[in-house]
Amino acid sequence: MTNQELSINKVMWLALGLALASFPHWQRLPIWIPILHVSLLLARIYIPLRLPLFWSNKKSTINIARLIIMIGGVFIIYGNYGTLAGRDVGVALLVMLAAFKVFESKSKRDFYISTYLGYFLIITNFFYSQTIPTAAYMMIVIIIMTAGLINFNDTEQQLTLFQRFKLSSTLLIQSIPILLVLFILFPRINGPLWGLPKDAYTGTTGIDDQMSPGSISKLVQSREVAFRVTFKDEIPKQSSLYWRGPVLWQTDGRKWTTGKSGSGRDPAPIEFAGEALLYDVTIEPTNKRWLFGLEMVSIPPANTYLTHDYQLKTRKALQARKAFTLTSHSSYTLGTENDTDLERGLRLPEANHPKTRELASKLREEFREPALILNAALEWLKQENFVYTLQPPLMVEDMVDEFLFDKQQGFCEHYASAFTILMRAAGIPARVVTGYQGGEINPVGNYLIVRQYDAHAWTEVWLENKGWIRVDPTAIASPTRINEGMENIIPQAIIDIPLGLENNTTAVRLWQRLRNTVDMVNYQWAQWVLGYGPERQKLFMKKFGFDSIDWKQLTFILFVFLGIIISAIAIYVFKKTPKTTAPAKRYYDIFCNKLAKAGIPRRSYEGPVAFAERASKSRQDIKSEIKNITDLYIGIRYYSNNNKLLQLKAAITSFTPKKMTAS
Amino acid sequence: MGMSVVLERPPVDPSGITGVLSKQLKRQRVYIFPTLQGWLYALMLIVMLLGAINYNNSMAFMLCFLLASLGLVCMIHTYRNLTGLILSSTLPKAVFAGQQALFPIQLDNRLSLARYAIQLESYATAKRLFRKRKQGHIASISVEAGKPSTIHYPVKTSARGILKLERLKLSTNFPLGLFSAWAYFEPEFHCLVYPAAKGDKQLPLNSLQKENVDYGMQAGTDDFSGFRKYRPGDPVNSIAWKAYAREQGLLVKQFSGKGSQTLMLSWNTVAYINDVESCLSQLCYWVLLAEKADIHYGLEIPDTKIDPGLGSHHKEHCLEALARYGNQ
Repeated sequence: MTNQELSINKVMWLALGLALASFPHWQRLPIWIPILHVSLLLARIYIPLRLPLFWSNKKSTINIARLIIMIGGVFIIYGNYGTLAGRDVGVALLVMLAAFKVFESKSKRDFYISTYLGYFLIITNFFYSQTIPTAAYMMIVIIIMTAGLINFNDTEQQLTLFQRFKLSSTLLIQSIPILLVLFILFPRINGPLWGLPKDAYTGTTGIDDQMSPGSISKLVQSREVAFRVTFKDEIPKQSSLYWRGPVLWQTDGRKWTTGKSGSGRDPAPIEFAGEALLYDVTIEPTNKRWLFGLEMVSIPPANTYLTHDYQLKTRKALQARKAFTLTSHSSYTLGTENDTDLERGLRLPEANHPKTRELASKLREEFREPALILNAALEWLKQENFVYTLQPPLMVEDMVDEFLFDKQQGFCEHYASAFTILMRAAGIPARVVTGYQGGEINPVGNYLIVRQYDAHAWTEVWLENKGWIRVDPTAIASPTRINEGMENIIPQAIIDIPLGLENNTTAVRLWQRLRNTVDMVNYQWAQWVLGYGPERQKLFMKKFGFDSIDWKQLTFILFVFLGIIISAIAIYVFKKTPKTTAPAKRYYDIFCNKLAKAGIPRRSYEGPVAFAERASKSRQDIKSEIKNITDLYIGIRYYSNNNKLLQLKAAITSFTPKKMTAS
Repeated sequence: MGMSVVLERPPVDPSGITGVLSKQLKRQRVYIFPTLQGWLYALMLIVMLLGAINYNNSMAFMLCFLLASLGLVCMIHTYRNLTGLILSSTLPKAVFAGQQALFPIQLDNRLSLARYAIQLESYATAKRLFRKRKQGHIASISVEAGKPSTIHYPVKTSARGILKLERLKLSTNFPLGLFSAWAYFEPEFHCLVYPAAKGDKQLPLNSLQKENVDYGMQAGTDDFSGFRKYRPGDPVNSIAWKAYAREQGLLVKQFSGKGSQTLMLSWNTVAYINDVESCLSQLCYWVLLAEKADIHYGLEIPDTKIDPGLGSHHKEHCLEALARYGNQ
């Protein structure tokens, strides 16, 4: 068995499974890798099939060629990626080497190793995508690969193609209860166990720790979900949904950055008033550490902390979708614990923005009081004809001056940036806060979806007595943006309604409903499946009264449940297959019953022949019928004349012996 | 019957050979253990689990757990594939030494579940631990639901006598090959092995005897002398078919004649051979030749005397006597 040649039929299953498992990777790989992959798989099928002599005679030639191509492939991959360590290059190597393994497969061991490489190919797909469609696709691949294993072990080739798939699916369906027990109860620990490759998480969009012209308007082109929020009570009104992110202090006139971090400092003193707002935020991976909470977060959740300027940060970069329970108070008074912050909030780039400085000094002279200056500035903003647009004209020289006095068209980042500089020039400490504003309510699941296009920037100014207060210059220029949300501002194309249906309201409504449902399913998937980690496991166990459970207790519970479930499956599998009564026997029993009613019961020790003999003796009238039926029955049961079954059935059905008379 | 495999074996017959007359059931425990592929699979799962923890990837956990569950379910199905089978045998056809004995082994599946890829292997049990056992022929068989299925298990024969089927291992790796379930039997199945029919001498016609028989008439082949009732073993060509057609039952034509001769194959006729086995082979060869030549022959070897006769039954009787010589 161990050294038998692998038949083409078995190799074909293997090749199909591997090709399907690596298929999603093809678009991510240099084009020659999938081509080589498929070529090797096809060659393994084609060469022995069409050129069996070549295959068996020229094995050594093939081996040398294989070795050369393989080493060459590794070198080219090294050339392409510049490394042999990392996620992407790892996948490239796996896709290539798995095909080489299939190509050289000739024994049972090779077959199994190739199949296991196929399972590894499946798992690598999940490092790129964990969506429901990916999971469903991979499930199909697993069914095919398992059917391939069944085919391999079906040594007499007794199963039909359909039966193979059926058995494969049956095995996998029966695995699901065990899978659930393992998934829920297997003690989870926080990864990573060792360093992750640098490219483990790439391609995540989101708010950054700096803001330059165009950085937010680029985000606004994206419909990607930033995070989803479920509120304990009602969803607050749109205009109060300011999701606070990075706070930017330093500017060169164009670009804003956080400046030197105030790490190690305690959060500034704050006083909360009013009712607390409780909500769950499920954030998509950003590979950064900001968590976006409603202004102002009062209790940071576990593994997060508040900086001195009230940015909510996680201890580890958000590399996977995660859920947090947050508490916020919408009315608060935010002070400062360090007066140098006020000085930092006044810094301006040297000799820049002359027009802005001029307006600032004018306001300052006229109103003197910071609160009055702020009001006047906002009033000025309202009166000028500012336009809120996603395609602002190019501003190259002095961005702030050009925006405020010349072009007067811009996006939230322009407003926030220019207004903060105006405030600083007028002697009022100010800073830029970036984050998200608003969100879209999903009525299907009654939660809020905040997308990348909800990215926003606003200003915080320092007023004596009032502390840091939020001022959103964009709200002055474009009240719709804040009151009704971003969907009403951005072009339809981004909202992604199928072409040609924009004007059909029913279609649009249906489309939106469908989209909302899909998003809700994704949200639940994210919360309960993808977000299931050590924290959720603890929460889940708490529901069953296990307040502080350690891994030992969890393992114990796991084994208890595994024992119960596996026994249940075993009992089910064993009970499902009752003893058969051959159909011929069933008919024959009917025949015996009929004779018993007619007065001739079959005795337990009587075989069919003896019984027939006795019955015939006492009933000459039905002698020939009894003989016919007995002959048919014996023929079917002992000589496998199974084609006579229908004849037997007909004979027995029409057999109606009269009751024996007393004579 | 749920968790075992049943051996249905003929009652122990001191002569060692019998058909299945009445059943003697023997339950055998089914064992299960991962195969090499199964251990590799477990290793793969551990690597996957480490990857899943490291990347904190829920779907990777999911896949790893799914495959682990699949392995466990596979274990149940592998076990199920073997249990509940009933193994029995009918009398194998006797063979000449050097030929392959074919043991007709029947696997009866009385459950509504087809069994696939059941492997049979018979081998002598190793006396010492760690000694590499002699591998037997591996036969593979599938059994449909609710039906018996028979496989002819070949065993090479080298010496005449009674060949006992060695310990029989019934095993299966189906469906995924991750686990192997097996059961052992001491089946007590026997096959009669005639001596190899070989010899360097043609029939010893010089020892043909014209026998003087008391009752005057002597079975011969020359002149028709009447009918007698058929006895099993009578040559088919002596049956009076016409009489049979007249519904007079099976009658055998009897002939008489002075020319009827019998050949007594006795120990003396092979006295020139030193080796007992060669003697038996020579006698065996002569039995076949005499049968072919339609010469009445008898056999006389120590402890056994078979009166002259002809026909397949007679031949088998003689061959069996030769096979059993020395170990009745």
